[in-house]
Amino acid sequence: MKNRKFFVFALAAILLLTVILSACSGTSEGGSKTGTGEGKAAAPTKITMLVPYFSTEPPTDDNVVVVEAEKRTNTDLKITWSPVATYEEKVNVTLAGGDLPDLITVLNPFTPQVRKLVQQGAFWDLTPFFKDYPNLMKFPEETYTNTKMQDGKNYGIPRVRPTEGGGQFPYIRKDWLDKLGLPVPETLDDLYQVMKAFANNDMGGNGNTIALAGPLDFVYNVMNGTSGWFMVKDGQLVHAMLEPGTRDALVWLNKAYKEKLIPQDFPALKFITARDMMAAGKVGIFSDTVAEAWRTHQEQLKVNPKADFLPLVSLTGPFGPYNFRDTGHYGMHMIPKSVPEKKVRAILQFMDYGASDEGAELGSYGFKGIHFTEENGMKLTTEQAMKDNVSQQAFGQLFINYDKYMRAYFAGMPPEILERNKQIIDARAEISVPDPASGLYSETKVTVGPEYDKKIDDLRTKIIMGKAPIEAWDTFTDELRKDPKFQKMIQELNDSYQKRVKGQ
Amino acid sequence: MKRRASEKIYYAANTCLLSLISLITLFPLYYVFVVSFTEPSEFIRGGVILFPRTWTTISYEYLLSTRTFIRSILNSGFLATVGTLSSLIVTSGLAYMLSRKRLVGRRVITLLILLTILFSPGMIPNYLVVRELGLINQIWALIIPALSSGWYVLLMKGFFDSIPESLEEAATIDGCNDVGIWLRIILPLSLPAMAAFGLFFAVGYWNTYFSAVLYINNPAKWPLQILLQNLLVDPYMAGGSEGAYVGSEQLNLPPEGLKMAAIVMTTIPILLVYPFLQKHFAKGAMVGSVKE
Amino acid sequence: MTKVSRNTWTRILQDRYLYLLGLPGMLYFVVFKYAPMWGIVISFQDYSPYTGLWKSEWVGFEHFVRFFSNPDFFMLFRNTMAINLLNLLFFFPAPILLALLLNELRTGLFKKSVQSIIYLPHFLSWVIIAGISFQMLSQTEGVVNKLIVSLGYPSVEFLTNENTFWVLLTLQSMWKEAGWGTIIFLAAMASVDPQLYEASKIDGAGPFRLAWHVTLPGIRNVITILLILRLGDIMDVGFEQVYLMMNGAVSSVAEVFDTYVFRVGISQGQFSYSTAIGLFKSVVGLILVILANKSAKRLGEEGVY
Repeated sequence: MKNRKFFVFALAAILLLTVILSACSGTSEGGSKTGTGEGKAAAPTKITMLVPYFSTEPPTDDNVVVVEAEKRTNTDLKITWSPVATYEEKVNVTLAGGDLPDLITVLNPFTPQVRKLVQQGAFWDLTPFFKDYPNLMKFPEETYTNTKMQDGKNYGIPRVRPTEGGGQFPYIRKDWLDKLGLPVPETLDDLYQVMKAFANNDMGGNGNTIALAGPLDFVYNVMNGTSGWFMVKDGQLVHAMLEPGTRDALVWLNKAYKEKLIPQDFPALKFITARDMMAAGKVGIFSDTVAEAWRTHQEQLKVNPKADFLPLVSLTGPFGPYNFRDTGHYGMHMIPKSVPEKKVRAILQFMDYGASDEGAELGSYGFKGIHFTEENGMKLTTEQAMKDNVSQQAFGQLFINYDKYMRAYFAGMPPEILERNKQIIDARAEISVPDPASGLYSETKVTVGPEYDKKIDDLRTKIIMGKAPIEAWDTFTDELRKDPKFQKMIQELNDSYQKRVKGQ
Repeated sequence: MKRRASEKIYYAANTCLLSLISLITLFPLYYVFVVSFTEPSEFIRGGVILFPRTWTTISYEYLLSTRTFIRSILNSGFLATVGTLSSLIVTSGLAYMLSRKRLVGRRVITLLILLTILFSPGMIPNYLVVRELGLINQIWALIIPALSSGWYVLLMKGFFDSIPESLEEAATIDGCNDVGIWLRIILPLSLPAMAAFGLFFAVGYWNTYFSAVLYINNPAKWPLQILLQNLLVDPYMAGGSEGAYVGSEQLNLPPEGLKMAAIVMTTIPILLVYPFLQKHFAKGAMVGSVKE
Repeated sequence: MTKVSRNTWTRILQDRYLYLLGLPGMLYFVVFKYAPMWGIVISFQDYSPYTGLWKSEWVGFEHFVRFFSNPDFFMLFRNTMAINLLNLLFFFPAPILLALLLNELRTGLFKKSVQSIIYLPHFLSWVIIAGISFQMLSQTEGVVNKLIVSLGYPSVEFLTNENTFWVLLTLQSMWKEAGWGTIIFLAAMASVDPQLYEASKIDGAGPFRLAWHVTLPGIRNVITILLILRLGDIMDVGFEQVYLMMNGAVSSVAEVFDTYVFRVGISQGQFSYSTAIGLFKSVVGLILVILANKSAKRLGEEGVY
């Protein structure tokens, strides 16, 4: 008897399940297609979006900032927030599913994926629209230039960022320099002397001070006078890894490794661990953004009130003073072609408000007096901001304006540091060098690029560690010069570069 | 007499060995535990901390103060209980069916299930199926598509294989059909196995992360792991193919203590369930019930 | 013929309740495992999620040609196989041995605590384990190296040494999963008839002989199934672990199919290429499973199917 009862139950469960399934597929389709809110002037425009968040938790629909933004812009926002770690996958399945939101944030506009979609005409060309939106027009020219796709058009509203202060460039223990009576290093040679002095005098005081940790890319960049793996030579784009500067950088780094100025297991040292060591006062020089330098500085101040972490303005190499120049954007917001033009206008209107000073303040800082207070031009966030999940990592991902000094600032920073950072950023703006290959397109690079990158990177590591002789580098680069695929990749990138130079 | 001595040595050696293994296992875990109670500033000073100077619950307070923590723990709890029970029913039913040698088509079905272990179609096709069924944005999307797996079915079948068919015959004579035999004889007999598989399913549901990101848009329905992973993931390694882009964003860097507290908090619920299942692994559970 | 088929139908009808019992499970496999199988087809296409399956261009075996003609193919194959063979040799038997040891203990506080403790590492993600490994083994910070240096020896490169990288991975896997792996074997041991133990004890068998002649044969079935299924995964290496432990100094021994797929395929949005590599791995796994199952049957085991 009992078993029959159970059988009935099991069958009922299966039936119920099918009922649930079929019932739901109906409702969800109906739901997504209702209420575009067109035509009625008073009704708020409904905008669906897919946006990444960098905060611990996403803002909810009843988040004070979201509600206020809806009120101010007369919109009804349906935002799907997705964690940044898996954001690309989320975008991919959303694209595959077919029901696209009205606005999709793309963090890297130049993935083969996005390029293909643009070619297929999946997104609105926004180039002709921008002129009607004064706040969006306040974004620097460079930001728009650098978000152009291969056809020279803008397919998204750039997520604007400043060009200075964002690169991973060395910052140094100024208090150690002062103790040793050394000046702030200006060239790579100076830097090397400082590194030796830091290590030999055991400035960290624990017997094994590490002079330099963190990303080492700046050495190559200074030696080649460019940012990244490509440089412009006589008007042509060339691969910087084949240039003599790279070889010099390898010799420099190998020497530093042998003299134990850099961590002996640096390839295994994760960025975040190295950063923590800098914060703990065991490392003398580390590479990160200007604002991040304050973060470790602040942590070290808790144990050592005299600590001073100074971001360098530049380092001089064979090509003169160098610092990294950022692209002025961190991805863009794209609007699928399925959205009618009228709504495209409404979305741009909404984003334009977000780019205004008022809108950007709301997005990143919330309400004055509740989420932040202002003291001589500095915004101090309150406890309430954390409780209400108001931050640049949350809604600030959507509403942001162009602020040249954005990367000088970090919450809780004293005014004198901010002032010093602003000066550093101004000085960097004079000399900074961009990555000439950013945004360039090569079909070959999509398929073979990552493999070459890996090989180059691995061999560099081995040479620095002395596991391979520098001659191995010469043989390797000779092979690359003869490698037809590699050359084809450079050729395509150069073509793309020439097109951009002329097309602008 | 002589054998008794050697046996004593054997048991002593066994105990020593297991204690040693436990110690090796425990040390890093002890570290996780201790760091979760350490002041962030003390951790920054570096080195491995064996005993913090001051104990603080600041990390736990922060976790509990987040808006999603309690709700997502409830969501995960729902997944783990409802999901585990459904999985056990569905999987054991199929596994039992496949373990009966007389069944027509048994070999073909088994082979077809084996193939699903080897060939997996990937993220997008799976997503589209879930979407077609209208499960997107429902918590069932985290249970129904994860109800079973070929691995569990085949392994459970292995357990049922060793149950003699003679037991069944006796029950059939008593007037039970196959569903009744499964419910009254097979499941009670396989209590150790059911406890083990229950634990596997429960942990699987408890760790639901990626499918939740893909299938659930409403954060109110997210399980605990999304919050946890957001704290644990190395922001410099995640987010896009070109690392430089991420490096330039001001990131949310949770202190180490908070990460460790998150691990402790998410592991404890499973540990609490464990003793209830553990007693079923005891020797002889099967024979005890056969004799009745 | 008709006689046979009628006979078959009668048998099916007789077992209708048995089929009913398996029905939800079979439905599940049809809907959630076979319905998405079309996804494998994209390995012969130039697939993009936006265009979808029907409109994507067909490219034949292009992706496979590209994969096999890759000069690194042999390296990827060798590393994948080496890591998996080490795992099969050392990591696979570890939980069995551990379960045997645990099984010898009488139920008590000690047994329960040991069991609970060795399950714990399973709950730590690889990110955390990689972090802990660094805290223990690195040359700059590591506790172990600090100890070695304080004893007057030069520091040892645990994390950047090509020669020991595979061993490092195997030990990590064992630490993380060996304890958790005992669950299934303990459950299997619990089903062994205690009368067999009694009988052997009367015959004068010691603990070793009991383990060898009673316990192990009792769980043979489960071991065989796990081993066969494990062989199906011979081309898979735990991606997260290798990805997190890999660095420029060891990548010539660390790069495996899964990390390659991630770097070249997934991160570049090359769905078709990634799927093609996945298909290759599956086919190799399938061949091994079939061979292993045949051998198992020849040895008189039940096998998987």
